[in-house]
Amino acid sequence: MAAWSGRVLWRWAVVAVVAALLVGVPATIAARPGDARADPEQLRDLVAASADRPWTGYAEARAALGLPRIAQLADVTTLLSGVTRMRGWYAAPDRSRVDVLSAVGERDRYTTPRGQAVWDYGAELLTIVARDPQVRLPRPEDLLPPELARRLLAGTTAADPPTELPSRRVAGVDAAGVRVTVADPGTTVGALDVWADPATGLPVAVEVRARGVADPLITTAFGELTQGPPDPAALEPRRGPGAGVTRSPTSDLFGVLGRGDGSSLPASLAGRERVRPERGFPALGRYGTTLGQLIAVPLPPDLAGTLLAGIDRAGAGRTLTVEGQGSALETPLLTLAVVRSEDGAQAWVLAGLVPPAAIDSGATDLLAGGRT
Amino acid sequence: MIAVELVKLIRRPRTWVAVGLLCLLPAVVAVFLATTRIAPPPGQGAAFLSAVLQSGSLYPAAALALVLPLFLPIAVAVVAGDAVAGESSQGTLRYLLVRPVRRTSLLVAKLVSVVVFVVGSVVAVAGTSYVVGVSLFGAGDPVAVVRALPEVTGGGDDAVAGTGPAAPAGGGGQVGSSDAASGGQAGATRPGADTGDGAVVADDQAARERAQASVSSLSGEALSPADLAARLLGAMGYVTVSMLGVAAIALFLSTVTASSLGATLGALAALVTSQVLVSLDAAAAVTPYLPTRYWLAWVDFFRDPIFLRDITAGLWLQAGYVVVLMLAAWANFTTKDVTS
Repeated sequence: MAAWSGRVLWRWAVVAVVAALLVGVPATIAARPGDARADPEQLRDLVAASADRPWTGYAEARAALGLPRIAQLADVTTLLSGVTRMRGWYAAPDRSRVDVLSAVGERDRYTTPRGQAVWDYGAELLTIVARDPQVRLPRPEDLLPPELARRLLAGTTAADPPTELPSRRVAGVDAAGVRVTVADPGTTVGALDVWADPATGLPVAVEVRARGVADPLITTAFGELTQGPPDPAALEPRRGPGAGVTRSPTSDLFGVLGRGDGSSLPASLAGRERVRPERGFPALGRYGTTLGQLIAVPLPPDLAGTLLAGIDRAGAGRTLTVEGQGSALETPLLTLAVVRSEDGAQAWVLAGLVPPAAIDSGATDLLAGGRT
Repeated sequence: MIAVELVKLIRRPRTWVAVGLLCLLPAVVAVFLATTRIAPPPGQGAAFLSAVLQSGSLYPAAALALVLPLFLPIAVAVVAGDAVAGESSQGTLRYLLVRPVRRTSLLVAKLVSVVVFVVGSVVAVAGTSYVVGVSLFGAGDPVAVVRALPEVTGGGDDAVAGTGPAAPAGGGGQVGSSDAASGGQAGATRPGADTGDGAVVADDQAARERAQASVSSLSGEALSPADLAARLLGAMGYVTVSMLGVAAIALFLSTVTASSLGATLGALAALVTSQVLVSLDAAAAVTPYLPTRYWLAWVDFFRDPIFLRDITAGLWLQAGYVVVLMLAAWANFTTKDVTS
């Protein structure tokens, strides 16, 4: 009986060892620390200058802003409150393709020197887009590590101190890390953690932390990455046989609203000066150039009403105490408010990575400026 | 031993009933789709269900999407759960082992017979759904083909240039003509762009054939019949491998209990748990190890270029389950007192 037990034990020991090896070895390989080092100042500069570094890869972004679903802004609220899976081919800033993958299809955005093309498999439609404004709603590709790192670092200042982070291995890259702690109290962004290839400066993982929140609210990292020019064939827009094609001057809500009348936008909001508007989009108000910038865009009254109703229905809005009507969707990072004048004739959307006080002050300024 | 088990599998009416039911579900769905022409809204429902209205040759893929989440794993769990426990409950296991048969060989033979069942089921589902799909939806919509032809044969430099009837003339061709006209672009992008254009324009015949296929990949690439067949085969193979994890769980439980139902339900309970955890963000740390984590990756065969990351991970994961659970089944079965 003892020998029998020994045989049983021996066989189960084999099972346990094999199972432990199969689980443990890949986990250990994935978790092994990197040994890359880089001067934080230099790494930050290298990352900021990495826009011409070509790559091909796959990235997953996880945003935990917890925005309720607002029907009119569903793309944005879903993007900022869930996981986004993306494949990318990046040759240059004006030559790239990003596929947003879902279990039943994909939505591909091609950027070419003459404009963009968006292929939507579900809708069986290729949309050729002439131009989107620089100030626009967030899109999935904004959460790719290189895009997010460069965009947010551009909003930091020299006064924001960079410190070294332990290196990480991300998608086969031994990446050096830098944390930029944001000093400006006018923004909710507490710190940006960026891991990048110390040789090329290409960001491979980014974590965005809000002030006073322990865990990062946005994390994005490559799962697969090849540095070097992508396959040119992958950058050619295409549409399936039988699918429709349409042309649109813009693919963004702000691209439509921004062409309107910008006369209701004051010269400054919440102490932030208005930046000269982009050509062709006079109604896009951008106030400030740092992370604490505010974006204000006039809304048609009917759309403002729908958005206000949507925020109310979601049950997560804060009513602004302003002379008029205002509701704000607040997260620890991003705040989005819809403000409407008392007579309902004028309305704006106001957004930014700013604390509630800045939104309140901005809303008051908008209503005051709108009246004059 | 393997031959004996295969004969046993083939002679069992239950095998054929299971395969028949698996084939029936896609056929019923196809009949509803064909009679109502109401496809699920974009981004909802099973993959490819909207696309089959254009071409029935994609219906095998839609059929796999229909049976994969529930019906196929249930069928596999029933067959694998019954493999050893069934013999045990019928009292035939004792007599089986009286013969000079090594228990390990018996286990391997049982596994092989389950694998054959899975392969047979997947092939049957794909085959019948192809026939059903092509006969109900046709192999390609003539209107779609006509609309697609100018796109690839009109001398345009890429898919966007020949925009077909829907595109207004004003401001046209911006994106499409960008490559050929791109002066002063970064050196890295130009040669590639030219090559891509040249390939499309130079091979009109191939382009025409691709358009006639009237089937699009998820990325909008027209798929030739040969390309589609290769991708379907890849997807079928991957779905088959995906089922091996279920088979291994059920087979292991089948050696633990004398009740086939217990083994089957145990395997299904494991799958339901896995599905719940896969959708739970809080369980992200264990998600890569869950048996159903990469089940849906077969869809990646229909992207362009084919996205192999999850497919590869899924194959390794299933291999891991098969190795560990078959070792566990071996450790349990070969040292077990068989009394029934």
